[in-house]
Amino acid sequence: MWKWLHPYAKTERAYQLCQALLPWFAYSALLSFSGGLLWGLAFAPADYQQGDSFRIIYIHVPSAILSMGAYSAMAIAAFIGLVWQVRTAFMAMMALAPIGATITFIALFTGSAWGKPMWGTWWVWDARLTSELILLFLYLGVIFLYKAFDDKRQAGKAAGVMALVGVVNLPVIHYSVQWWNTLHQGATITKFGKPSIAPEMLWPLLLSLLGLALVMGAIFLLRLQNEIIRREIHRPWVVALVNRHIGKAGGQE
Amino acid sequence: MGGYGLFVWLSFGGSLLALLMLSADSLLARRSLLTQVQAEVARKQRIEQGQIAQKAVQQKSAQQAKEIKVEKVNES
Repeated sequence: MWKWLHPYAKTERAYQLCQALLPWFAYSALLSFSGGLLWGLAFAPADYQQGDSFRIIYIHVPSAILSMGAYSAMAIAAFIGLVWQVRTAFMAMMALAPIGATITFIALFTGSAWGKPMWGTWWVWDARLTSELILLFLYLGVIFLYKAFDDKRQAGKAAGVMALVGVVNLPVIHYSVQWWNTLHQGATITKFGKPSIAPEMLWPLLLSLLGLALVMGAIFLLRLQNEIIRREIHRPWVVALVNRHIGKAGGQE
Repeated sequence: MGGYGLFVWLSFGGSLLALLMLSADSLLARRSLLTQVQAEVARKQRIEQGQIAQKAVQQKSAQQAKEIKVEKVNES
């Protein structure tokens, strides 16, 4: 059933797939992300309680949701790498880690900027904020643990185990607003039942969510290609690739 | 923006800056990797050339030694 997937465990095929997908992701990311943000900034109605400050939601919520999404993807890549001994999976895991860390930082940063005017504080040690901060530390841990090993096969295994162990943080983040008394509000869209947000605010939010996901996807494809080149630098197909690239650039000049 | 402008622009600005830095890092890494591959190829070529040159020198000196031997035999 999964036989069609097997060729993509090879770095050359994976590289080519990234190359084919990149323009699609890049252009659609640009369109949807800027469209969603513009819509949210300029055209969505202001909140009757929070005024215009609520517009931070159009970056804060997508980045928070996707910080967890990227971690899940990283953990799945780690699982595949560990169980099936697929090197390309570890490369994907390490391509995702900096992206996830950046998005988690954005979620914390925008949350802080939103909290100051609304809650009167840049930070509070409530369950949701603390568990999201722990997520950032997990991302950084995976990155630096990988860097600590010279043998990249061992590095992949160690970082992979750390990524998998950290998965337990994801339900903690999601249910933190239910399980504990938190300052952070409860779920608005990531819940069963009708979203508790007006549709005029919901649609730009969903578009921004899609846009940010595509942006992260595009950057991931780029970084995975980089990781592949880095690890396969001696392979003839990489040399041929670079020569073709140089030839094209020379021809254009 | 009802006095909230600073926070909204701080958020959007900071986030875009972070994303731009991430993209720049990825693109610059690509460029430096392509240079690295080229350097590796050039290095391999130099090593090959060096080995060929060394082989030629060795063959030449072996040939010369042979000629000297033959001369000596002829003299005697």
